[in-house]
Amino acid sequence: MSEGMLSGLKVLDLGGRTGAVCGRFLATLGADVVKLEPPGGEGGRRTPAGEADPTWLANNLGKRSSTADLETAAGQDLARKLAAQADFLIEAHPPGWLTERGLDYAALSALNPRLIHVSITPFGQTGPHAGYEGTELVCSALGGVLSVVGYEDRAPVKEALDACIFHANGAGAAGAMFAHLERARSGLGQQVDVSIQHVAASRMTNGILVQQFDGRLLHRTGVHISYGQARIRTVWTLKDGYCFHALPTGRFGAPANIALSRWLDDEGFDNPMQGVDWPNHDRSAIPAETRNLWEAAMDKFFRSKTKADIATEGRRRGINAVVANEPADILADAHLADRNFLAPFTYEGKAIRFPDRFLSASATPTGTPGPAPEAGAHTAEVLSQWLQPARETA
Amino acid sequence: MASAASGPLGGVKVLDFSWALVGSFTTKALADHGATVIKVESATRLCLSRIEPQVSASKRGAFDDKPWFIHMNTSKLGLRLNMKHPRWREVIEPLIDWADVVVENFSPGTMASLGLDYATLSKRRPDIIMVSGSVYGQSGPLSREWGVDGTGAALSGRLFLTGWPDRPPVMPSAVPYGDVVLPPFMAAAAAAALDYRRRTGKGQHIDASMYEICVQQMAPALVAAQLDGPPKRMGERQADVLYQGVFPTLGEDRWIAISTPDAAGWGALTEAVGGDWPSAEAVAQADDAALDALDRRIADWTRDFDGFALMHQLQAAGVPAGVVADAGDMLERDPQLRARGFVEMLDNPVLGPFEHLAQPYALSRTPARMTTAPGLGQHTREVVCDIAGLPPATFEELQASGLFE
Repeated sequence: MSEGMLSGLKVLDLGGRTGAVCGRFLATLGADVVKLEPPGGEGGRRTPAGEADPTWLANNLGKRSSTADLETAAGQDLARKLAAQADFLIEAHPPGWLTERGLDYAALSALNPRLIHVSITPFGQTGPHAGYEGTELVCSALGGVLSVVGYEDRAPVKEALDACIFHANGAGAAGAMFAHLERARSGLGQQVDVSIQHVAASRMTNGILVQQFDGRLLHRTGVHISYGQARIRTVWTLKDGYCFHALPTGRFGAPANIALSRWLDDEGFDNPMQGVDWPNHDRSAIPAETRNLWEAAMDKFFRSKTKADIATEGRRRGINAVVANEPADILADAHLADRNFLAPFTYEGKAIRFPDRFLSASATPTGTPGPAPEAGAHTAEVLSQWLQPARETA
Repeated sequence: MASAASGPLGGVKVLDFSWALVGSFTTKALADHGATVIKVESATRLCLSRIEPQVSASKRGAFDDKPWFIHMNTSKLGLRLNMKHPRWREVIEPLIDWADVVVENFSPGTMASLGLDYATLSKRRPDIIMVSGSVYGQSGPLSREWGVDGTGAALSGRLFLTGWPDRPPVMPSAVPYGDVVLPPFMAAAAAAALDYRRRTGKGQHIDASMYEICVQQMAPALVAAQLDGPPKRMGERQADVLYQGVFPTLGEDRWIAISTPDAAGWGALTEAVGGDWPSAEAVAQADDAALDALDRRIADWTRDFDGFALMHQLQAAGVPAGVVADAGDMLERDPQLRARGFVEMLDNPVLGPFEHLAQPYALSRTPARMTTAPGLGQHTREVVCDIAGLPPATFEELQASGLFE
């Protein structure tokens, strides 16, 4: 078990900060992923305050780094030579930026018709707003998902970290792999055009459907979530943190609902849910006053519990509540440890652990092949390996 | 019958035991890109999305009128099979021989109880590729625990780190996340495994976990926690973006997101607003109170503008900005999403024509093509006779015995 699914395939990574995860994923499948950075390293390596950016570190593990100044003819020429040898190119520049430098898909595919060119940009390659500037926050706003996250009495609030950008990189990887499989038949590459806004919009399924059919808009509901007409509380305060619990519906949900109700009874809490016919409980049909009564009792109950109570006794009873993990909880999680999901690496002398893979495969490795590279650390070896005429191997 | 060999995955054969979201979205991506996908549905365990009405056009007791199910199952063939019937294997076994890829997202252990786990399937078909999606993964002490999309949010830290520092966190999964983000990685792995099989002859089992993929999304917080201490909820802010926020505009509950990742954006924003502002260097070092004060000044300026007009004005000035769009805005007032064909009008036999959401990435030479989802059992006869290869007389006999109910 040494050769990966993508072993022997070359990825030229011009993804910068926005398009970093796609190459990171392909590297875990065995591809040789080489970042091409400006001399001294790309801007995304540091935060605006000048510190090492954990996002950059996390999303560039397992790659090599080469440098070239794409503002010069020599740098552009080197990029073209590398692209001519590459199986995939990943980039996240504003549409037109690569064209001005002779590095757009039209130019590169003329040199290398097999090239699969993945573009991950805020709004995609074409359309009236293709030239608009976007970030995670702006794409989540125009993609609709921001509108449904947050408390009603405050502005909509962004999801943690780069949720939409991460998703868009997964979409780019899917497109790249579909094109890769097709290339085995046709011998030809193509461009994969990913719009981060569009990727965000693809999660607004329910909103798009209820608006189309019923002219009804979904709104943000804080610690609640809307299922059809129902409004279910999903975030509960514990003694030392929070948990997720959403009273489920119908006969599938009945065992968990019975278990929770029984736990309230066993500990002598007021329980307005006594006597409910759970197998026929329909979360869309119960009146708001009833739901408010239940939620008040559950709130009091959850506030008496710790994260450990939920993770042990709650799990034993099968109430379907899950602790809202903090990073420290994840690092200490025995389940992830059992699956060898976290791997060690050293950063500036400090030993830290990171998520090793995106998924597992029984016949091929899917772990991270190495650390995040120093800028230009591999320029010489990449040039010699990628640009020398291939040596015959037995 | 769905197209045979068009699209990048033309010719790829998928036997689809998926239900709910993760598996269905994975096989939708494969099907929309040309794979032949046979969705196996058992009336004894139907997907909730076929049952629960979410819009007024959907009725209780009907199965083919749920747009949410239709969205997740475009371009597939529908096989209805009673998996509690003693003879179901007579149909499934030839389909396993036919398939390149088997996809499922039951609780780990369920496929084994049916004799359809990878160990069993690979004895019959050593080169089969099986793709399993689950919340916790196929192994480990929690692998058989219950979970939904919100579980992935809670486990991964997404929930804890979404919201305001002075209030409990809010659900980041008011729209699904893990359920929708895991599928492209599963679909990518399926295609990569197919190419690996083409070169080596080897099949394999892909084990994809919603918990793990969401932790990957949160990897920067995990790294930051070990370098700088426990991260906190930051509202709209991000450590690696110079300045951003969400501000009120004219109208009821209307907002605009403005995000300046660097000094150039900050300069353009402050020039658009006018007046004296701190330098980008000062903003980079500003504490929460100072940033709150900037937020109030920007909000005082934005609240008198129409959000769309302000977005266009700021974009023209080089400031990343976008209205906080709702579904109505997306369907009616976004020429960019329209230009990308983010929805496609398809005629559904039960609901009539409606806009189906399309794949959010475009392959330039071999684009995706979508047909509406199958009704329950719509293709049963074709699948059993034409693909599984059972004689018509056997089909009639099995039908009479209730296998397809």
